[in-house]
Amino acid sequence: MLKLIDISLTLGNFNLGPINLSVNPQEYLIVIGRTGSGKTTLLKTILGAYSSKGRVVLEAQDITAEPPEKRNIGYVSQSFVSFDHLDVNGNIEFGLRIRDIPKEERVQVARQIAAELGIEYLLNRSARTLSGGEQQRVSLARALVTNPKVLLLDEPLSMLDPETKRTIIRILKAIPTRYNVPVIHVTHEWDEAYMLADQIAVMDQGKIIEAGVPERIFDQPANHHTAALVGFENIFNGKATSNGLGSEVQLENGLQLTSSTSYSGLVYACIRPERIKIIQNGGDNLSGKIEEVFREQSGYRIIVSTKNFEITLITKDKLVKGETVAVTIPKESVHLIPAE
Amino acid sequence: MLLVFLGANEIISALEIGSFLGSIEVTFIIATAAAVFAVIVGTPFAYLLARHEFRFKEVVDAIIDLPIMIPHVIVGIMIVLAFASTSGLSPFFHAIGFNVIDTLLGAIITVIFLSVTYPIRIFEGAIRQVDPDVELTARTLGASPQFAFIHVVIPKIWRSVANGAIIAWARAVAEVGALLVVAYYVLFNGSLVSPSSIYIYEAYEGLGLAGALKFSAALVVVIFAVFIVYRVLLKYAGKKKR
Repeated sequence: MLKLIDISLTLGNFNLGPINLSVNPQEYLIVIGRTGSGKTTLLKTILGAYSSKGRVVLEAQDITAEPPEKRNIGYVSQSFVSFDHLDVNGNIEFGLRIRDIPKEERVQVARQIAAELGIEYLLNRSARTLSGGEQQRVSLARALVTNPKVLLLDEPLSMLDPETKRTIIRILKAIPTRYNVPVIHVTHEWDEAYMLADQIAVMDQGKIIEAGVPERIFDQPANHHTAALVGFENIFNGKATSNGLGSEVQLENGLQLTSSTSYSGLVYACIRPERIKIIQNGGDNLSGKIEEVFREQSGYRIIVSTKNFEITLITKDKLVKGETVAVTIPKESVHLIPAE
Repeated sequence: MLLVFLGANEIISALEIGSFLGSIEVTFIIATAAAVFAVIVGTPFAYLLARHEFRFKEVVDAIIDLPIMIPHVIVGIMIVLAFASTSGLSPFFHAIGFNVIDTLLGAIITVIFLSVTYPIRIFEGAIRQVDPDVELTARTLGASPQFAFIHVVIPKIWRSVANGAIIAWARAVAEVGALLVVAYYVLFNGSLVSPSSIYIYEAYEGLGLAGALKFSAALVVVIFAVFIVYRVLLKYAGKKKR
């Protein structure tokens, strides 16, 4: 188990923390945040690359003062790090060589993990000839072969094509149980986080703003920054008044909504684009002109503009820019986050 | 090329003159010492500059560039003042038998000082190109900073190190101004020998242009041959690494 206790540091103008976070044995923790939110800095602080205030406790041992080479923490960098003067076997057994493991044992262990990750056929290849997906698997093998106590992954999928990504996702998902190691994986992709995480921590401006299981984070975010990050593309300020069955929400832009959440006070009303429906005959309270249409995998992303605001929705209907449409927002789809 | 063409007929005869061969030998010794120093001391120093921020770094940077900013004769005078005058640390150096004036050691110190700037800047640029995550990854695998530097960084920048070394070597071979002041001739194998650049300067002064031509052409041919051999070796080493 890894525990971060009141971790904080300053790098130039950027302040990280204070951060309190823990990851349990065999747990897959995803830290999600925008670019520049401090995710990589957090990983490098855990690794010991930056000295910080607070404590890093790994399996009941305080490793705060230990250098990276003494922490036994595995690391896979975002930038496909390979020791390209070595072949793949040399890369995988790099950590074993430092530990003075005899040659025969090194070869055997490297071969075994390469087989498990499907890269046995690469063992004699020069590391400089590998594709992105191959490099990523070699990096994983190299990190796992030393039996780290925790594995840190810095945006491991960000530079891969979709097909390779699917292959690597299956490998990543299996790591915590197969290798008995907790994983901390940082990303800005919410679908990646939703697929892989046992627990999610959301980072913004150097701080963890909320944490929890994926379903809760994705359906009921407690912070409007989280909501924006996990796909609530429509976020409006307003005032909610509880009516017993839910709330009436008067938004600052003039729109009135109904939410199934019962709350009174200033709120952020958050709505996912895929939950907004286009209706045929007039609207109950919302109609506007289509400003832009974007094709995407699940249909069309439409930006509808009214007099006072814009709203984004996803539909399977092929609509045309300039067309006037009416939409409805089901009350179960309006998630309220207190704004105070 | 013109020089070699004009002096072609006399190159062999120049290379048969013992005193000239001695001067080339001295030049090669001091230049090779400068190249070795550049690699052994310059690489970690360049790493420090490329990877770390520290107080007065700008001053250190300026000091490194100093030898290429000021006339080399002045550098020679500075070295004489530092080691051979009666002030400062000079009495101490004399007391421990550390003499730089007209010695091989003095010539080596002089060319090191004048040539080390170039390789340090070459190494620094190359190290900056290496992703710091490479070293961090090595360290998470158990490598000490020194192990990571030698086994991960150096293999990535070895070609720049090799280029920096030959630049230091070439710069040392070409040095005249400071050597005129510090080591006009040095005691080598029991006789007084001038570095080849000074040897040629003396030939020019004593024998005129025609007299200096054959030694100049011979030195250029020898240096050119060294460069070609060095480049071939680098190419062979590069192929072996792939």
